[in-house]
Amino acid sequence: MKRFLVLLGLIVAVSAISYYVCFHRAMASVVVVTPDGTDAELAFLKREFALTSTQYDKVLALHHAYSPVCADHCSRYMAAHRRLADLLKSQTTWSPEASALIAEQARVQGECHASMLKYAYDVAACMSPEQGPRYLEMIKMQLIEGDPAGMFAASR
Amino acid sequence: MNKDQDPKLREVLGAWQVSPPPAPGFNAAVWQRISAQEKTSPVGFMETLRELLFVQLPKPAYASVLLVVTATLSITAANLRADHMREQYRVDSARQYLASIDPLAMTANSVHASR
Repeated sequence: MKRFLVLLGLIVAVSAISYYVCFHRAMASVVVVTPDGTDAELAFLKREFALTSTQYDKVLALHHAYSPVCADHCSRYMAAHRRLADLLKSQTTWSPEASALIAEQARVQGECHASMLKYAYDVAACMSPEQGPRYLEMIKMQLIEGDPAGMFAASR
Repeated sequence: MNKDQDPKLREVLGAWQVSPPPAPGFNAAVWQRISAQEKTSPVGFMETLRELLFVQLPKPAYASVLLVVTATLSITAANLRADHMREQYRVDSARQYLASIDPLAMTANSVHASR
């Protein structure tokens, strides 16, 4: 009985230790943090698209230049969206004003997408010839399907 | 004395038959033992299991095989879970990055957060 309990203890210990060690070793290479801890989303780019330090610096500069433009587009789109939502709440019949606000929202949306696509082509140009097209594929998937998960599922 | 040389003795030995009478209650005893064996068969199984778990399994040969199998299964399970989490982390990171460059995704997040 005592030997059986010792064996049981060993089984539990071996399974727990091997699981813990193996899982943490497998996950250690996943999380890449930028040196200063900021721009966590760019750490993903660095790992996923195997950016060199030079490429990463160029992408970082592009990203920082694009961020205020993106924020401006975001606020303009939100304002257009809010105006349309308020109008639709208050109106019960069709009005030319609603049509104009829908057109305005679509125009801002188009500007957002065009601006984002231009930024994406600039970023892709900083990458290697193999990784640039992969990055653009992710951007196009986001623009067309609204989610990049399909790209990663296909590359498994 | 050589029996082949005595024809009378040879004749007597040839005609000799041993036929002991069966012990009293022999048949009853046999059936009693069969019945007792049938009644105790579950205990026999438990005894076998007990023998297997507490005596045979802790032997070094079996125990080492069991530990190797345990370690292999744990490592396989850890790798499968890590693979799944890596893929999930990859997709989540991509979404996080795209949300930082896509004004519409930012807007959608703001609208969801404000609800």
